[in-house]
Amino acid sequence: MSRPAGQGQVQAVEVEGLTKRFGGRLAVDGVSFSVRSGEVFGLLGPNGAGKTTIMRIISTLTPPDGGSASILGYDVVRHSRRVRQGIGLVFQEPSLDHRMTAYENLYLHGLLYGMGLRDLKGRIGEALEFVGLQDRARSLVRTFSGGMRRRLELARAFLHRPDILILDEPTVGLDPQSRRAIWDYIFHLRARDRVTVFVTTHYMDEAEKCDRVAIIDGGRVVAMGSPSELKTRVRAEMADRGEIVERAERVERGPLTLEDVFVNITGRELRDSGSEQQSFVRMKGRR
Amino acid sequence: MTGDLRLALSYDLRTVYVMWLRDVKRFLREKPRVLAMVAQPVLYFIILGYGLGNEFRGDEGFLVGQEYMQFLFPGVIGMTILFASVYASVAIIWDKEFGFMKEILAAPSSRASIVLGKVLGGSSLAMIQGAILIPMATYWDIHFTPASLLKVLGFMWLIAVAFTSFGLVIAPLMQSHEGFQVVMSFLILPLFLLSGVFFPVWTAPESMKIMMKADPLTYAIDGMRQVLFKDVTWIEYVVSFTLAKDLAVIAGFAVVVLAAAFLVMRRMD
Repeated sequence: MSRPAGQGQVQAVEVEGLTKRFGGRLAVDGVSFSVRSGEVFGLLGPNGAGKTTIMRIISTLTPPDGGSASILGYDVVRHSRRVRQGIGLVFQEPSLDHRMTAYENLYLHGLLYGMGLRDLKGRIGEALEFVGLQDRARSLVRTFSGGMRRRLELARAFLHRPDILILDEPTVGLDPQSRRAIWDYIFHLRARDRVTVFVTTHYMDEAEKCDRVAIIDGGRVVAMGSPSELKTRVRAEMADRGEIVERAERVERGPLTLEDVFVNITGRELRDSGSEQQSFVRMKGRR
Repeated sequence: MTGDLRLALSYDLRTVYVMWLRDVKRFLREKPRVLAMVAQPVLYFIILGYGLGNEFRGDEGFLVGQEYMQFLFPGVIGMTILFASVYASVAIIWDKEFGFMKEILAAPSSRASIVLGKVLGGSSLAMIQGAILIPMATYWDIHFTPASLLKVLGFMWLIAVAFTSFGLVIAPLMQSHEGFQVVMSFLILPLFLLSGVFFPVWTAPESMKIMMKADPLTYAIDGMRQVLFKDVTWIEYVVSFTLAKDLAVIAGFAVVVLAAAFLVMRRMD
């Protein structure tokens, strides 16, 4: 992908004062961050915090109401086609054609992303092998397990050699083996292709693997830094408030986890319901 | 800038091809579905054709036996294309439901190319299903010349384009199971029953005539009858309009719904 001339080092992702409103509700409220090339950047937040909306804006699927976002220096609104060529997406929900084979799903993707027909076949074989699905190339996706489908979606996302992988909760609902495999692939890809990875998650152990994370809550960035920086900062805050003494027993057991950071910063209330009371009623009703 | 334009065009052409290829591949893979979709119109044709043809025997104002089968034939082709087109394009709901639409909508292609590809794919399937019926015509003594075959295929293709586009426009109404049933019963079935498949427009009571004349499929079927029965003595009893009017109405309808499909798809997310 060619980059705009006249600029030095462009950030892989640059987001500035982004806002998005759904009805009267501010889903994204003045979010700014940037992702360096080659970085694994995690967007961490409770359900309904605005992670998916941000992900949809930077991948040009939803236009922002205010602020700007650019990918490799290309504005997501004005140069949406350029942006789309340069990113590889894994959506939170499934997005494969179940009635086509693994090979066909990748083949159609290659066509959509303008790949040369001459080397498409070879690249598909390579991608399937990378995620361990080479033996199932000719099977219908319908017959695949959840983990296999996810691996195939990852293979599809990097098939056209994007500069940036954008993954929206890529391991939700997977068993530990599949989760581990997905993250192994992600790190292999970074080592092999120097690809930048932008990932949203609410799994703490996954956030720990990122170079930097932004914690987002109520549509705002409430903390940003490397996992160890965030832990140090929160430990200091907790000590200031005397909480570390109250929770001495727990702290003695081990170092602070990112989960402690997360709960300390974002609080304990449930986010995707009106209030504690309501959510309790709803839970009871469901049983 | 022209380079950019050429690049954009090549992406869009590929998208049209992808949508088309996917529809055709999936269709050919589902053999039982192909068989069912071909068998259904044949059953309509034979059972209703012989049944109704006998019913009216002796009524001097109407066609009997073989002549009724001949009269019915273009209508059955129209009906086949109508249902095949709507089914093919309404399948876009399942693409949304099962998620594949996300992959398409996120690709570096324009919305217009997605619509064109879907219309091309759906109308190809409908054309295959309609064309399978054509060889049957000889059994009932309907003979095609190269010119009449081409004209009939033209009308078939206009019906296919019009109703795959129509399917894309109404697909948002059919996202629930109930919605699907309601639209099929109150929109698609009347389009079929009022199109003059089983009886010519002039035999219907006045109020029904108005509805039949409002159905674009009526004109396409009328057009096919004009072409096929040009030299038959009873043609004046079975056609209602001029060939030019038939062509103008179905082509105009196709253009309008195709434009509407572009607008609907622009809002899809």
